Amino acid sequence: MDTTKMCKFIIVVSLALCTVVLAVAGETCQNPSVASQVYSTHEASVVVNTALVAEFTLKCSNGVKNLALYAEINGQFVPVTKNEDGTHYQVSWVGEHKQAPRGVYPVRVFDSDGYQQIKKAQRNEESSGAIKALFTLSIDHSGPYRGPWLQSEFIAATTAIIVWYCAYTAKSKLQS
Amino acid sequence: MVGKKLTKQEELLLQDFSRNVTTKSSALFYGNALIVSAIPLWLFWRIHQMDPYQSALVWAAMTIVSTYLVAFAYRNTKFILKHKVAQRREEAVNREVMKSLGDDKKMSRKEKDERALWKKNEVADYEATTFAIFYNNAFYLVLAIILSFYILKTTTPTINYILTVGVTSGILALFSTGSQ
Repeated sequence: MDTTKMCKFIIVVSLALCTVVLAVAGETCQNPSVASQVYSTHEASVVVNTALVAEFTLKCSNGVKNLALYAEINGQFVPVTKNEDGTHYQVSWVGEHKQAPRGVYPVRVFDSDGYQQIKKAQRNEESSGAIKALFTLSIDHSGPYRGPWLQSEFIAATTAIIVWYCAYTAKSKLQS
Repeated sequence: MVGKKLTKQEELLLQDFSRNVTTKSSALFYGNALIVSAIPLWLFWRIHQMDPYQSALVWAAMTIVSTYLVAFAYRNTKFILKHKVAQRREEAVNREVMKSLGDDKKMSRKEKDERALWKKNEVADYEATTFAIFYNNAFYLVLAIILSFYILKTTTPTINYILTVGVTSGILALFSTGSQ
């Protein structure tokens, strides 16, 4: 009887442990596979701010979906938004043009655990650079177009003044 | 003196010192003036976004006024320049005419001089006409661009157009009345 009870106890504990392990493993994305599209503002003559946007789909080998993700983009930590079924994610940053010069912007994406570690590092005033991200995206920002170097009316006026000056000089020579 | 027929030389001299232009020159002046006065229409239509149908009357009126004033400026500038051009070209024209008529024994000295004078007048007339058109067109365009894009930038397109065309053609006419 004792042996039977012992065996039952061991089985129950094992099952419980397995459940815990599975539950914990279910919250973490294993071997993430990412397909992304990025966008950045290309025009600054009318648009006031620069936007950096990354949209991606995430597939985990363990089938986890609908994860709560956080991203570090241009030095800021922001939550990653997702659609209803949790398959498409989007992260964005908006700021002044001078805060986003031309360059490649890495976007480090963290899951809940990673974000907790970052918060802890921030509380302890430590660097968060050493914390491993779930994956990293890159936004290649070519810089916004600020309009032509010279206004067209300036070029037209300058050309007209040069032509008129040549005519005036010729007229003065004739009349001298 | 009444009824006395003028010699060719006297006719040429009168023509030389008269502000009147020939019909051909007049047509040339008014034609060019109309084209130049019509150029700002395109500018105000496409860049200042004026509606052609609503602005048709204003455009027509200002174009007519500008055409008259620009042609007036052409005439005056031509008159001022003609004598200067004639003085500069006199020697070259005489040389050319004498060279072409030098072997002609039938023509008298007086006739040759008249021919040279006529040729000089023709050359001076043509050069002064073309230069007057060139100079006034360049001046018109400079004033129109500076007025419409810089000085009158903040005004409504209609006021901008009226003042640009009016002031530009007015300044052209005014400056052409100078003695030099």
